[in-house]
Amino acid sequence: MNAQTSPAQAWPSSAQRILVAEDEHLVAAELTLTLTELGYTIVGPASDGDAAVRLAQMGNPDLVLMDIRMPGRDGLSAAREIYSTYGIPVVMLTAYSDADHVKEAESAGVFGYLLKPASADQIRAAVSVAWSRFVAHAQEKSVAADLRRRLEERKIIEKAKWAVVQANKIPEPDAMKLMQKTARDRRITLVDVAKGVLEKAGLSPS
Amino acid sequence: MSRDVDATGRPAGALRAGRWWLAAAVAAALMAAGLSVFHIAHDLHTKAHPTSASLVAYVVIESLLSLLLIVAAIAIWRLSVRGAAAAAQLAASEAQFRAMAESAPVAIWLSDAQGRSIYCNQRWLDLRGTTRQAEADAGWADGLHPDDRARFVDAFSDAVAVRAPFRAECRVQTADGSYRAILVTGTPRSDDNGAFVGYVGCNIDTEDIRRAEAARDESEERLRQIMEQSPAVIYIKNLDGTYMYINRRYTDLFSVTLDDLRGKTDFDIFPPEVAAVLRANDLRIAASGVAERLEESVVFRGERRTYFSVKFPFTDRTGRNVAVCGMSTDITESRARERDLADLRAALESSTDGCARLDADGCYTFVNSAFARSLGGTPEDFIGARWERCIAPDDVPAVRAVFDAARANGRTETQARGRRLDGTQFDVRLCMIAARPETSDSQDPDAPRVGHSFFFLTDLTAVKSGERQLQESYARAQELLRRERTLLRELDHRVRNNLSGLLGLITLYVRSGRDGRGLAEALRGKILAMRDVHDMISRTPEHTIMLRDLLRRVADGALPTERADAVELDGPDAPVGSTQSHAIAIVAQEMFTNACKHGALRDPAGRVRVSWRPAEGRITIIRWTESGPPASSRRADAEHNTDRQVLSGGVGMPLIAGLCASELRGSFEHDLADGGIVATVRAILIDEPPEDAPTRPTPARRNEP
Repeated sequence: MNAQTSPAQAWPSSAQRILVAEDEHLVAAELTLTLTELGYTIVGPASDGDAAVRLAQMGNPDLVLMDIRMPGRDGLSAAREIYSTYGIPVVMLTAYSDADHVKEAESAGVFGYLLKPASADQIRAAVSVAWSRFVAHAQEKSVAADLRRRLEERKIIEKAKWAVVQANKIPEPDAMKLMQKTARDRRITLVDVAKGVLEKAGLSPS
Repeated sequence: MSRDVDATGRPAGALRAGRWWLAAAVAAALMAAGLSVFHIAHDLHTKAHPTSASLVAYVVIESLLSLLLIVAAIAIWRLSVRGAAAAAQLAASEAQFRAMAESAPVAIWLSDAQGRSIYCNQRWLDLRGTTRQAEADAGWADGLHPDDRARFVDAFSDAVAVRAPFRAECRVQTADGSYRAILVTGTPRSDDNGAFVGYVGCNIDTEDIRRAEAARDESEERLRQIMEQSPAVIYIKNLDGTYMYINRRYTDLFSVTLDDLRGKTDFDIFPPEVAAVLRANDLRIAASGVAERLEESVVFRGERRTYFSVKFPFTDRTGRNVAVCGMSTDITESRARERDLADLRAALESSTDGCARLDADGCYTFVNSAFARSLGGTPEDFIGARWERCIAPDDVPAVRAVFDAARANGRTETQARGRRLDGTQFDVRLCMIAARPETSDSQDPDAPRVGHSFFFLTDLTAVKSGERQLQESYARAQELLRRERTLLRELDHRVRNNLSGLLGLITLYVRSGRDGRGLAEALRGKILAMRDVHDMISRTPEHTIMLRDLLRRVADGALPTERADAVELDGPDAPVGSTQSHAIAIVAQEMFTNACKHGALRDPAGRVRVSWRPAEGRITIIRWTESGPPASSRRADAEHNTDRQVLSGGVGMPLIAGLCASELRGSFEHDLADGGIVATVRAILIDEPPEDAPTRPTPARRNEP
């Protein structure tokens, strides 16, 4: 699942596959067992930041539960790349409780921050809230993108309409009706008709 | 003169005496004639009527008549004798007059009754550069200054007309053509009969007097103006203390005029105690006759002012002290300024900051003790020297630029290196203040400042040292604070991670299905191993943990005391990081525990050899080899199978494998041989330290037990 797929995508009510990134084996084992008991499918665990990025790309997780301090690449850097590149929300699970790390996590765009040791309930709530926030955020982004697309199409149609008005010396409503009729006759969208008009007139759609 | 008068203009003396005697003879003759007539008449009468009284009268008259006749005879005789003597006396008198007139220091002249000059002495002729004849022809009027001529001639004519004494001034042309002022006085003269015969007069050259008087007047005017315009109070007091003179300044200051002060003394102006002091001073000066300079305090209208007075006795022409003159200058403000200056100078001298004054050429004219002390000398060492002497040569150009800026802006500050007399250098702060020359307009901000300037020098040695110490202390404190925060954060992180790890451990063992006792033992062993690592880290934090020491410590905790020598450790020094230490400890604890329960150490003759060697990169290969009697010979097959099951399928081996893969970033391989477990661990024992991290020392190697 990827957040940058089609805007019309229907999001599941909860995350299914969770990537665990934790360098300490005992903690990773505990997390794995807990998440498994909570009904999630585990991807990993990854023992460092680079491995987490690789597994995020290849393991198709819905959400990542990641430690901050890991050998090699740290968790925050990996979280930033995972979200920006693959659109996968990240919840930080760390033993750092200081404000600096929390602020850094905010700037990295993570959707949750969980302190170790975390109980199963805390983990479940954090994952659930993070997923809900992520879905809402993705939907808002989708709506915004759709609005932008429609606005651009409207601009192209208007521009083409005036081109038809000038070329055929007809009133504006007639030009619009002509373009709509052409779309119906050719079974293509109105914006495609408009793009054709502009192309024919040697005008740029933008 | 040559006619009927003598040299004095009067009738000749002999003639005058003769006339007196002639008059006496005529009078005597007339009286004798009268008496004779009276005698004849009386005689005729008495003869007709003779009486005794007539007889007496007759005798008296006869006597008088005889006497008069005798007198007349004598007078006639005298007349004849004196006539000759008078002529001689006249000649002598005239000679005397001429001698006197010619030797007189003034011009002497005679005029006749009409005012014409009949005589003038040679002094006058020399002054005029003319002859007596020319003067006699009324030429004297031609010599008068044109502006004076009419006035003078008219005045003289008027005097002649009424025969009155004459006195007038005029300017007369002298022999060199210049005009000189002359005072002309004339006295009417008359002959023996009282008849006006002209004037005798003298001309006094008053030019020098006039000039002297003009010079005196001018001098007096200058003196008056000086005294009136003087800023000093000037006064003259009689010996009795009353005022004779005060100048305008006195009037302005004390609101009194000289008329107000007539007959008044200081006691009428000032409070008694002040007046008494002033009076005592005046009397002392008058008595001594010596001028004095003194300070006097005066209280007027409640305000005390201090005056510097010069007083001296005032003498008359005879040299007698008649008054005391004083000139007093108000020095109240200047005294206050002097006190302020003295205070400032004392303050500068006692200041701990160096202060110096430079003249327009940049040479020291004043240096206080602190300034000299900072530079290792005395003030005398610097007076007259240039300012560059106290500046390190390398800093002189920069300080000169700042100095020039001070002359433009009035005040500048800078820091530089000072130079002591012995050549050593030190940090100083310099403040330069340039003063405008006294002749410049202090109101003009653009007026040049080429006068003297002030140099303030502060020795910054202690300040700089203190600043450095403070900065170092602050940096140390900051570093300590940063370390403390880091430590606290890392401690928090470590505790939370350990708790998380412990939770993971519990979860693993709980899911392994162990009973309570087994679970407790397993957890206890792991926790004690982690404690041992923690002890090693915390008790010698400055040292890196070595693999040998770590394994020995875990073995000591995991094995019975009597089996401690069953473990052989062999390998070079291998430092272990703190994170890896916990993983190694858990792995080793698990391995030792298994060896005791299910492996070679279960048998008293069993041994465990742990060896390690560095491999490629940062990998260290640790080999675990158990050696003991064959398992089949020491235990039943069922038991052996249980061991295999535990070793291969329990919690321990996956736990070890996980730790080796995660914390140790390596691998774990094992096999159950006949003598026990043989395992190989590939591990990175310590993280690569940052390039700038200090190297932690390794502890001295302990002897193997």
